[in-house]
Amino acid sequence: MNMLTEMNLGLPTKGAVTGAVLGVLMFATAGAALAEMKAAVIFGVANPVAVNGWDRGQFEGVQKLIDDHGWDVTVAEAVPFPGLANTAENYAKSDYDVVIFTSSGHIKAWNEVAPKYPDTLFVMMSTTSSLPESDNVLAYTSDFYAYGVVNGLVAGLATETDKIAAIGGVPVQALEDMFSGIVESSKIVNPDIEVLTAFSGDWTGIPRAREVSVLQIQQGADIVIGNAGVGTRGILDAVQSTETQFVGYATDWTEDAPETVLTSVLMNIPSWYEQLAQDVESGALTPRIELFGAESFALTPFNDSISAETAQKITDYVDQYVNGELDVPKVNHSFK
Amino acid sequence: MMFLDPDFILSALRTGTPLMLVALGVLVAERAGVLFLGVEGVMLTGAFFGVLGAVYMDDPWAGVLTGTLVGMVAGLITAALVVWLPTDQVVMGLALNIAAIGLTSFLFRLAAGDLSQMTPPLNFTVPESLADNAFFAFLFGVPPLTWLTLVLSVVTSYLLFRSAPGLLLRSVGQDVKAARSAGIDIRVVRTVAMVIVGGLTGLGGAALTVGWVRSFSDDITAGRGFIALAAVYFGRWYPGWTLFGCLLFGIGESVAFRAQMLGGNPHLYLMIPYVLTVAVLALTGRARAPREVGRPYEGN
Amino acid sequence: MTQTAREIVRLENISKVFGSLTALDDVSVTLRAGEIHALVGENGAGKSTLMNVLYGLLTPTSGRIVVGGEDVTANWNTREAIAHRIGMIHQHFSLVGAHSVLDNIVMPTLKWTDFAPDWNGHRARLAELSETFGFDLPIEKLVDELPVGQRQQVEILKMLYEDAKVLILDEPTAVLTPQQADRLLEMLVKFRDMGYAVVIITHKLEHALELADEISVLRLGRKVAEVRKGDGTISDIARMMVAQDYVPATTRLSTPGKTPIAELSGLTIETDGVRTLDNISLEIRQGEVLGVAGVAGNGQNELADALLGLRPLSEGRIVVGGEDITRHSIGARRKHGLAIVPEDRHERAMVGDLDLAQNMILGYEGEAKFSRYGILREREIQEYCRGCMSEFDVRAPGPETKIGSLSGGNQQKAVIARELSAGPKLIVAHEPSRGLDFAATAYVRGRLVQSAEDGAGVLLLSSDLDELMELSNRVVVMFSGRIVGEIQSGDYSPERFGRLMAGLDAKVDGDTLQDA
Repeated sequence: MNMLTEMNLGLPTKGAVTGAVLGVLMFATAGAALAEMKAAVIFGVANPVAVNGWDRGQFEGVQKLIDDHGWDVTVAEAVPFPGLANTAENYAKSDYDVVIFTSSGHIKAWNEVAPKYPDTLFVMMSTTSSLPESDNVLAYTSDFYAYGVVNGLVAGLATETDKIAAIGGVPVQALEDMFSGIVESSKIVNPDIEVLTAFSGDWTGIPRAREVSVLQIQQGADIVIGNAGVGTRGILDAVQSTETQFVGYATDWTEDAPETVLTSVLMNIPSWYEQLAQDVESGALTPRIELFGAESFALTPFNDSISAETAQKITDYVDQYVNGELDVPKVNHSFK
Repeated sequence: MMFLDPDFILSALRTGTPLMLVALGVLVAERAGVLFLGVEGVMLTGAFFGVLGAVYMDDPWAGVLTGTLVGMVAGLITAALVVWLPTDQVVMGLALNIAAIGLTSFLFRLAAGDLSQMTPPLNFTVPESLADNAFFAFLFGVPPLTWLTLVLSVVTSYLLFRSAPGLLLRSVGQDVKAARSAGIDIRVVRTVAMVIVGGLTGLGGAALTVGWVRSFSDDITAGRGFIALAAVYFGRWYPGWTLFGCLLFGIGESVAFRAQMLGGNPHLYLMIPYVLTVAVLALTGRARAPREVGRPYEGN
Repeated sequence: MTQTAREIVRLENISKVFGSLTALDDVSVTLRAGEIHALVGENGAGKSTLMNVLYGLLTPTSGRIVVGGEDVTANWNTREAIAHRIGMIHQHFSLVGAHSVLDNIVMPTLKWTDFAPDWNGHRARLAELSETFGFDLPIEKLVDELPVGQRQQVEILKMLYEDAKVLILDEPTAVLTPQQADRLLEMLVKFRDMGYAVVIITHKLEHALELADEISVLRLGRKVAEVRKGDGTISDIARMMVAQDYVPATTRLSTPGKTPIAELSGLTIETDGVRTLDNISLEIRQGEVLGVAGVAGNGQNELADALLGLRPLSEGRIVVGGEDITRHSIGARRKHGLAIVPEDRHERAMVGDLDLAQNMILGYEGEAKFSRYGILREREIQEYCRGCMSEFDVRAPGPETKIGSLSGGNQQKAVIARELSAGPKLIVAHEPSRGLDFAATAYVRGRLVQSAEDGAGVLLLSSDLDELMELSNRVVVMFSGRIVGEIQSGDYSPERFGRLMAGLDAKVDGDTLQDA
């Protein structure tokens, strides 16, 4: 059952609908509480639930839409870059109410398609610096600088060699923000710290991510923060093989390698989806970028590679930062 | 020294080992006159089943064995398609690659929950008494599958160029007519060869996943099968030079990993192994493949 | 040694059917130790098919193969044939060019389970065998690097190495110079005397008559006669082969005109300091057939290519009909009255996937009668093609038949039809009857002679001495890129040709044409 279509029947022309999407959605909430939202989520990777980190986090959010809010959700996987706009357009044409993008790499398609289909809401679940020029758009994402700060506090306090490594796939804006946060916060808790950064070159290559990580570890890093998409598995393998420690990205990595995962800094991506569902229900659909700050992050329990004392110290620092008691200057570094 | 330290050599060996195994397979196939363009797919299949075996049997060697056996089956299927049916070996090879991507991605999805764990490591541990000696540390650091690869290359080289079955096989690859008139059953020889070839290629795939990165992802081989194929051409169908070609690629990739730390745009450095491969191929000029490679054999 | 002929192989009532074609129809042949058996017949008569059956390469549709008194028909294959000491040399050799002589000879005797062959033992045995039979081969060399004559020796040694007692040779003299051929035939006699059973497939009837103890004549898959030594003449056998009276070759008597139609002066091709064509000067007169003899690879290809314009000359001048065409393009040369019947018609003279009509106008498609404003006039072309087909006896279902599906003889007739219809001044014919059967050969030769009689000049490059002697007014002999002698039609003898072709009587002082 598609409420947008139903409502359109009562409206004389397409032109009248333009710009009226907000009203329509509000009406729907009030008048047809049982109406089911039809949404499509677009993933660049295949089998997102298997890709621990960012994509699994997104998938958990999708699950929330289905389970908690009764949305009718279609998931498109492994959509190649050239096919993004087309895929999104097809959903819009097929009367989907919401189309969700899950990566910064999708921004171009988002900009391109959103203005063409005013009846559909286009949502970006990732970092973006600007919105498409259209009324039917929303973006939800974390404050990656703050996320980097929390990671930097963990790694900077846990390291015994005073060297930590941050390994990414491709130097996109979100990663640059995150790595900048790591550099600045680790410096505060450990003045001798050296942060090694490297990129594997893509989001899919496990072997390359592994070898790049091995190199950083050979240079003395004993704590590794890694986010290289599918390739993150390679980072984890490098860390495990060298018996160093890994800080999990976005979701809980403990299960993958308990003795190797010091902790994971949870990003709580599902809360973005929760917010989206609430916004749709309440009709708060003015275009905006909703940023989730430090308070939305959480640490999973530490493994026993660090002392209870260090663990406590980390927890204290993170709490201070979340409560605004620890001031970390915002400095943007470039890692290209 | 950044490029000549043991860690660098180990990194090149890790990168090169799967290539070497697969290249050995391709070499045997071409020596028997079969154009093995399906190599990428068979490697991918071996890579997937290697992980599957290692996880479900909780033993990396079981994974290596599984990868090899499944590779042999894939080799047999290849033989059925390109040796027994008079099909185009290029088209069939490419079709097999696409089928392999589909099959492994599909199965990976079914088993994803179980495969989120890393496979058990496949490494020698340095005995305590020798751990401080840099040389022994290096020797024990060489992955077991690299040793196996060296043994297999020597054996393959000997069998191909010193033994009777080697000469008979090479005759099949060079001149079907001569082989036939010596009473050789071309199809049977090529079928048996392809089973061995599939085994080596599957083993190469398992070396990539079980022996190196310990996990699987869709299309994890990412063109490595084709690079092995290029290495065989580079090596002019001789095992020694072919392995050298693979190692060269391994070195190239390892340089790229390191060169990144020297500054500059990482994408440029990541091109190095590919540029190296192309350059080496261009410089070696046109070598002559075994004459029957790629020609369908239609019997009588 | 002196035992009376003992039966080794008996082929009984062999038939072989390929689809709708009956290649062999109820053929029986007996091979005896210490005898040479010749199989003669036209192309496609089934000679090679019969021997391929005996060698296990083909399975007979019906009939029995009896070897040493034992019926071996069931499960007969090449391995079995080799095991029963039968060896065969095909017309096109079955050698691995990229492997050494030793590898080629030893390969068929090796077992799949032999992981460490006794290479030194093999070398020793091969040396011993070479000595016994007087071979001297570089056994570590690659076969690709050997000349054709030596490759044949490799094939023979291969059979002997397998311990073959039945030696089958398919057209063994086709690739040899007369001297080499004589030596081979002597060797076959030696094998016979040593008690081997020798089978020779040949189209040279004189060889068959001279050597064979028994001749089987095949025609269209049937055995039409069996002739014991001394029981027949060439014309008897030739008649049986074609079922019509054989017209013995007539040497041309008509004298050519005096006017030169073409003059070649000082043609030279030099690549990397090697002269593949060395100062060739020839004059071809109107109505003359000028033969060029020589063992393949002594500059004939270069000469033909230079005339056609496929290879640039380093020096020299080509004048046809009074005009210098040295710098003309291939198309301009053809327009100017040069016709070419190339050696390899598949490569140079026809497009197998195009139909007969299209092939008939290849190179002439721009002419007004075949196209207008660049559009082919299909109806006219078809009509023209039908005309050519009937005039030149091209037997095909119709103009739209793909030329590749025709027999060699009809393909060659089609090429001749195209080339001669253009009314050429000079015809360069390179091996025009190679691979053709009796009737087609006679026809093609007849047309060339007729063209000469009509006033064209013909340059005939051929490795078939009989053809040269039959057609040419005079013959020049090429050796290593030069003309080393000339023989007038009255003085032809195979011995003189042989010596010149082998480079024995070559003059070094450059004044080679006056070899009187």
